[in-house]
Amino acid sequence: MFTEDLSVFFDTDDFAEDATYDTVNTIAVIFDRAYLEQLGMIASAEPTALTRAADVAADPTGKPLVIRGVTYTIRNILPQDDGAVVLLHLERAA
Amino acid sequence: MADHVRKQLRDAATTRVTNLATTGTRVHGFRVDPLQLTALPALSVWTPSERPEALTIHAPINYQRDIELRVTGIAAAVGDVDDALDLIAKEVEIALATALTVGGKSVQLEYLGTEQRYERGDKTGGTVELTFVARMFATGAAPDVPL
Repeated sequence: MFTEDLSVFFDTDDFAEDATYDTVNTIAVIFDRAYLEQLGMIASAEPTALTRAADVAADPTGKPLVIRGVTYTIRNILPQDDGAVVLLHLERAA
Repeated sequence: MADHVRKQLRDAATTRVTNLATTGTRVHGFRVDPLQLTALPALSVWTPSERPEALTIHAPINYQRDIELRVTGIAAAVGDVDDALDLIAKEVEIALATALTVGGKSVQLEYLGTEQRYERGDKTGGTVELTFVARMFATGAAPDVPL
């Protein structure tokens, strides 16, 4: 079976950065926090983290993810393409 | 000349819902630009429509005007936001339960309903929109003078 080497896509010397998943695990993520106008009335942002599926649980919802010193809660997991990479939808924990 | 009765109604309602426990002085008119998270929770008071009915034939026609008044509560919270929205709605309903005074006339608002909406983001954002109707009377020649 062919095993993809995804590490090249999550090189912290390029676009990825370290994040702390579920309190103790350091994983590489590509973080994004684009502007979001919620309901047309609230100026907000939509934080997401792209990471390897193997680095998180099959259902990581509810677990904490600390990025750049900010603690987020994982609210949803969206498998990308073949599922080897997942997009995590995040919400600030406080 | 006084303001249109819609603005007089809106101003009276705005005064009534200012300084409520949850939203305080964060009361705005119709919003085109979004509010920052730090400016929440807040209220928006607006009158999007009016349905007139002619009561007389000859000019100046006297109109019964059913003016729609909407009060939108806006909040954001970590996790569920509906509890905060229901608290805002409760405070607004109580504040507007008794008649307003508009141009010296007593105007009773009739509560028509509520709609909540939510969207995920940095925090969960939500709105609660309360719709009321006010029955007022004014002629076409003097829409600023409540009868």
